[in-house]
Amino acid sequence: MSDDSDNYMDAASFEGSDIVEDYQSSNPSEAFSDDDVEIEDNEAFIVNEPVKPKKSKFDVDYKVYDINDIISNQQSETEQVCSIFGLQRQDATILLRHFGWNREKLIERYSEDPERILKQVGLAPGTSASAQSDSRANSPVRLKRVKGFTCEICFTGSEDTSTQTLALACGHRFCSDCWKMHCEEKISGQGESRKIECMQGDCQTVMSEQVISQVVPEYIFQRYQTLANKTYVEDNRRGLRFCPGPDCGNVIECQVRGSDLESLIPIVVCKCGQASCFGCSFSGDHRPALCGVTKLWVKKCEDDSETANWISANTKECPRCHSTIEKNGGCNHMTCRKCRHEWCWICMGDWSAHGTSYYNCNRFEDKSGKDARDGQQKSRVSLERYLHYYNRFSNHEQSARLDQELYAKTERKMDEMQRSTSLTWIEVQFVKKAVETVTKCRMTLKWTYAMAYYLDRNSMTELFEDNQADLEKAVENLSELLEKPLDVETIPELRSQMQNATNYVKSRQNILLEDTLQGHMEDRWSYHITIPSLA
Amino acid sequence: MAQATKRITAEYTLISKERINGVSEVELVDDNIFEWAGYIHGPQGTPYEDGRFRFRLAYPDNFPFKAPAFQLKTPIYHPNFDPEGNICIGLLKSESWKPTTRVTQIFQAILQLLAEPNPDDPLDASIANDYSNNRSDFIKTAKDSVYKHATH
Repeated sequence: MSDDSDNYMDAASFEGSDIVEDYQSSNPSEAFSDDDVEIEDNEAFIVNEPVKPKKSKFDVDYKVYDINDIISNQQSETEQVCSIFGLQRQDATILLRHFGWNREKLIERYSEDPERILKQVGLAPGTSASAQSDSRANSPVRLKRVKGFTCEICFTGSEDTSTQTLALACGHRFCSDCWKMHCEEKISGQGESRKIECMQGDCQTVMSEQVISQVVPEYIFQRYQTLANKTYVEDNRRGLRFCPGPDCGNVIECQVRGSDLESLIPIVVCKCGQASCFGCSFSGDHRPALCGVTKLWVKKCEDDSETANWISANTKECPRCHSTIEKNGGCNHMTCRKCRHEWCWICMGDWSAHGTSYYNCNRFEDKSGKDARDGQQKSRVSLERYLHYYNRFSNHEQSARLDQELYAKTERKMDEMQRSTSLTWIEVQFVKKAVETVTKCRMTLKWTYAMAYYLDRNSMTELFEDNQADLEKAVENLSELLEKPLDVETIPELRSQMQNATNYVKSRQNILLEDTLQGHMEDRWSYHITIPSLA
Repeated sequence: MAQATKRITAEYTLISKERINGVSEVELVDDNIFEWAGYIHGPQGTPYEDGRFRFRLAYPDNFPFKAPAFQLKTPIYHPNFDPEGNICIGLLKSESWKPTTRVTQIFQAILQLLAEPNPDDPLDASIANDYSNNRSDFIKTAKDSVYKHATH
C-alpha cells in the first residue's frame, strides 16, 4: 500500500512540472506569427533581465519576479537615488517610500528644495535643546546605556540603575522597551511600513530600517520587511501586481495602459502556473472577452442569475399589466393585485372565458389566452436570452470540472495499467494532454458566451458564432472520447483517435482566438451596450 | 501590560492630585485601572455650560503605544460625537497617536472640542450642517439636549 502511494506521488510530482511546461508550450499564442515584436523601454522600473519576447501581437510583455528580485529592485532604485544626491542609503529608502517609489517625482521635488523635503519626510532633526546637544549629524543611531535615566513613557528607571535607551536624530530619548512596543504596535497592530515616527508628541522624525532592526525581535522585523515589500509592489500600481495564485508570492511586471484594454487582453501566466489578467486582476484567462465585458458579465451573473432563474421557473406576468406574479396557492384563478385583472394561470386567458365552473381550462385555442401567451413571451425574451448565454457559460465551467474529475479516475486507471501491462508511462500520457486541452478550451468557450451576450446581431457576430460552434463541437467530441472505457486492447486505437481530436481542438481554439482578438484590434465587434472602460 | 499598568497608575495618581478644570469625579470602573469614568463639564459660554457629561476612558493592554478609547455616556448634541457618544479627534487616531501624550492632554483636547466644534470633520453630518448654517437653531437644540440629559 505504501509502495503504491509512493509511486503515485512520484508520478504526480513529475506530472506537476509537466503541466506548467505544457501550459506554456500549448499556449494558443504559439501559433501566432512572431512579427511585430515591440519591447517597450520602461525607464520607471529597473529590469535586471530582458523582458521575455512577445509571442504574438495579441500577447503582452511581462516578467515574473520572485521576492528576492523585488528586494534587489528596491535596492538598486535606492542606490540610484543615493548616487544622485549623495544621500545615505537609509535616508534614500525613507524618501522613496514617502514618494510611493516614484523616483521622478522625488528627484524633481528634492532638487527644488532639499531642506523642505527632508523636513516633510521626517529626516530633518528637531530644533529642541536636547536634540542639539544629543545629535551628532550623520552618526548612526545606536542603543545606549544611560545611568539614572527615567523613561518618560513607562516611568521606568531610577537614579542608580542604568537603562538601555535610544534616541533618533531628533534627540528624544526613551527606553529600548518602549521603542520595541511602539514598533510592534505600528507593524503588527497597524500594518505600517512606510513611516514609523518618533514617539515624542509633534515630532515627525522617522525611524530608519536600521534603527527598527535594533529594537524589535527578528520575527517582527521580518513582518516589517514583508509589509515594506508589499507596499513597494502596491505603490508601483501601474507596473507591478501580485500573482493571485494560492500561496504564490510572485510579482508580475507588465506595462499596459487603461486605454489598451479596449483592444488588448493582457493575460499573464505566473511561474506557479496561475493565469490571470493584468488588466482587470481576474484570476484566470478570460480571452476572448475584453476586460470590460468580463467585468459586466461577472457583475451581471452575481446579481441576476439566481434571481432570474427563480423568476423564470416560478412566476408569470399578468397578461394585462405585466406585473410579475408568483403563484402562492393551488388555485389557478389569478387576480392581479395591481390591475385587478382576472386570468387563468394555465392558459393565461381571461378567467371570464372559463365560465363559472371552478376549473375548466381545456380551451387551448382560446384567443385571449393565445394573445396573452404571446405577450408574455415577448416580455420574457430578454430574460430567456440572458439565461441562454448564462446556462452555456456555466455549463462549460461545470463540464470542465467534471472533465477533471473524470481525469482523476482515469489517472488511477492509467497508473494501474502501466504496472499491470507492458505499456510505458509515456504511452498513457495522451489522456492527460486531452483533458488539459478540453479544460482550456472550455474556458475559452465559456467566455465566448459572455462576449456573445453583449454582441450586436450582425454578419460579424455570425462568423464569431460559427467559430464558437466549431470549437464547441470539437470539444464535445473530444470530451466524449474521454469517457470511453480504457482497455489494453483498444488503447492504441483510442490513443490515435484522441491525439487527432486533441490537435483538432487546439487548432479550432487558435482560429477562434486569433480571429476574435484580431477583431478587437480592428474594432470589428459592435456591442449593444457601452462597455465600461477600466482606464 | 506591566508597562501599561505602571503608566496608567502614574497618570491616575497625577489626575487625582492635580484636578483638571472641567473634569470631575474621575474614578476606576470596578477597580480596574484600564477603565476610567467621570464627568466632563461643558465650558463656560457654550451651549453645554450647564451640563455635565458622563465619560468612559478605556485603555488598551498595550497602552501607551495604542490610543485609549474615549466615549460620552450622556447624550450630547455636537457635530463631532456620534449617537453612541464616540468621538473623532486627531489626537486619538491610531495613525497620529503618540505614546508621550498625557491623559490631561486628552481631556484638554475634548474640552476644546466642546468649546469649538469642528464641522468640517463631523461624525454627525446633520448636526454639522445645523451648526454651520443655522447657528441659533443649533444652540437651542444643544441647550435643550443639555437640559434634558445632562443637568441631573
